[in-house]
This record gives sequence, C-alpha cells and structure tokens, in this order.
Amino acid sequence: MTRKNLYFLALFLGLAGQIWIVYSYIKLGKQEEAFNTCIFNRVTGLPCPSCGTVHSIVSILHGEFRKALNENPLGFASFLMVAVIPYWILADLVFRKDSFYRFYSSFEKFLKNKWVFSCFLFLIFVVWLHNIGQFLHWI
Amino acid sequence: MTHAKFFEPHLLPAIREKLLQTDDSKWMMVQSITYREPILMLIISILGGHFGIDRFIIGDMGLGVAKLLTCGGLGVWTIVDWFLIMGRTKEDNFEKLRLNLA
Repeated sequence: MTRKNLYFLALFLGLAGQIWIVYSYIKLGKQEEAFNTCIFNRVTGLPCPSCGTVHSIVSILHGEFRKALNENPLGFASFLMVAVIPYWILADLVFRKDSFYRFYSSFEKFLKNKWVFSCFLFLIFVVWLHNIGQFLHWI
Repeated sequence: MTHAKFFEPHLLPAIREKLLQTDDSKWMMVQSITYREPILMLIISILGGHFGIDRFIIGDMGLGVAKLLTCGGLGVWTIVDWFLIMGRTKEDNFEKLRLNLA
C-alpha cells in the first residue's frame, strides 16, 4: 500500500472512529443504546470479538478502567489507535515525514511472523470467548 | 495467458510484453507461482470479511487488524470490501509476478 493511500484511509478511519465515539458517548450518557452496527451480531445473535469496544472506550473516557477491561479488553487498543493515529498522520503531513508509514510497514512485517500472528489470533479468540461468556451470562 | 483471470484486464498487455522480454530460464519459476483466486477471495470476504480474514490472507495485516477491531469498520468496510477485494487480489497477484520477474 502506498503512503498516500495508507494516510488517506487511516485518517478517514480515525476521524470516523472519533465521530462514532462522540456519538456513542452522548447516547450512552443519556442511558440510550447506540445503533448496533455489527453485522455478525445481527445475523447470528452472538457477539463478535470486537463487540463492546465502544462501551469499553466510553468507560475509559470516564476513567473506569476495570469496567472497560471487563466490557472488552480490545477497547484499550482501539482507544489508543483512535486517539493517536489521526494526530500522528497530521503531524507527518505537516512536517513532511513518513514516520507512521515506516511504523505501519514494520508492524505488518512483525505480524506476518507466524508465531506472532498465532499469538495474536489466540488473544482474539480468548477475548471472543470472554464476550460470548458475558453474553450468555457465564461470566 | 491461461492465468489471465488472476490479473486486471488492463494489465494483461503489459504482462505479455514483460513475459516476452523475460529470459527463458525464468519460465519454470513463472509457471510455478501460485496465484490467489479472486472469486475464492470474494467468498472469503463475504463469509469472514467482518473479522478481516480477507485482508489477513492477502497480507494487509494492518488493515486486517483495523477491520477486526472495528467490527468490520462498523459493517460499512465489510460491505465495501466485497466490491474491492477481487481487484486487490488481482493487484497482489500482479505484484507477486512482478517480484518474480525482477
């Protein structure tokens, strides 16, 4: 992927994510549920590995880290991505650097290692089981 | 051009030219490259695109992680990728051929 495409996509995703979080923050503040966009959840009725991420991010914003961890541990990773990446890209564009592109390339290379990727998949699977367990009131 | 279905149609003349210019010694190597089937990738994208599986298979690990962590980009990215993934697969196949011919 070229630097230009990556920056455009990541900036778009980051800003869209921020808008979605602000919308959910307001909705959840009024004790209303935000619109369910998870296709997997709508089709199967079961949560996907990333279901509950927005709830988790809103809890992080409220400073309730334990609750956030219980809702979905991936919320921390998503929060970091949404909070950091758009500004990192903007800084790169302003100062005409490509630090994010280099970071992304090395991250991809790192994740292509089969052991690293297996560990990553295992972690995602554990989070998914945790989500399903919560949904079925096992936890 | 028995492998034409693996590449974008507009790239076929350039690939033909490149193959004609290529040394015969590379012929076996070119023949042994395994390409990804665009239709198969579309099926994978429909079934597992929500989890970013299609992007992981192509090798776009970063995008796969982003797709996985965002519930398939709130469902929108999943649907957009149904239309993009075949083109991306063909691009990836071309890249594979280009690297082998270099």
